[in-house]
Amino acid sequence: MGQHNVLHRLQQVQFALIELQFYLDMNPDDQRAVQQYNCLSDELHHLKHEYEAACGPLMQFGFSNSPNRWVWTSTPWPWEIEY
Amino acid sequence: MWIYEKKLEIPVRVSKCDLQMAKFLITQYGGPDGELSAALRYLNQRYTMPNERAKALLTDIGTEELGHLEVIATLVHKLVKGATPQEMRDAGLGSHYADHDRALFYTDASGVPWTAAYIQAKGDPIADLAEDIAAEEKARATYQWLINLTDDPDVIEVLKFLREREIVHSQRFREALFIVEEQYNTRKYF
Repeated sequence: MGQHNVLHRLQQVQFALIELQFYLDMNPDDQRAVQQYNCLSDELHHLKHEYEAACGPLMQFGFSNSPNRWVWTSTPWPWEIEY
Repeated sequence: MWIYEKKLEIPVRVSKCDLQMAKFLITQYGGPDGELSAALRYLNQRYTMPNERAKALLTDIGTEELGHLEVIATLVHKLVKGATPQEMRDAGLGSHYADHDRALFYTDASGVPWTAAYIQAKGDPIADLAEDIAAEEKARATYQWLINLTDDPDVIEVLKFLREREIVHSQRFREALFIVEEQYNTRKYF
């Protein structure tokens, strides 16, 4: 997948997880929804790794690994990305 | 604690520079029913919300609203990018330019700065959740009025997404209100 495709897929999966998060807040006993949440959460982690390998860290403070060269200061900011 | 993620919730594009639309859109950045108001309202009310599910919901919706704040900021930034002072003046943004250049600022569409008086925290779960539902409906209506003000298909796509999110938030808050009313066995007389 190209960089933008990975980002797009990441946004799609994260969107589903945001929806599920709110749903589960209101329906914490729905086991099927919890399973779906965990399944998508695994996919999200996988996509994050793929995206970060190509485009650099998504998160600061150690929540993402850095490549040997510090690129947090040189990768584009969300409002600068041309989709 | 909050952790920043260096990406937007959704892709944001604009077809052309549009200063007038930027002037209108800024209300969802720093206006009464905007994303800053929403995020601060929910993230502040949660401390005294006496229901576990509603506490989680306020935290999670408040967090998504911070993401929406960044989406609106990106839209405005892209719509204003490269504008000359004369163009800003012609679009009614001369006073904004005088005070802020092309920087974003938390104001409504008329340039009135954000105030905490836009939001409430009553400490009463029913009053607070009812306010949250009303806030989501007002934000939804604002997004509709903004959609009516532009013909840029890229901007409309983003605004439609945000309008939809307000509907979902409103629905979840309605469920939370129902749960809290059950919890307190509140009888409603109309």
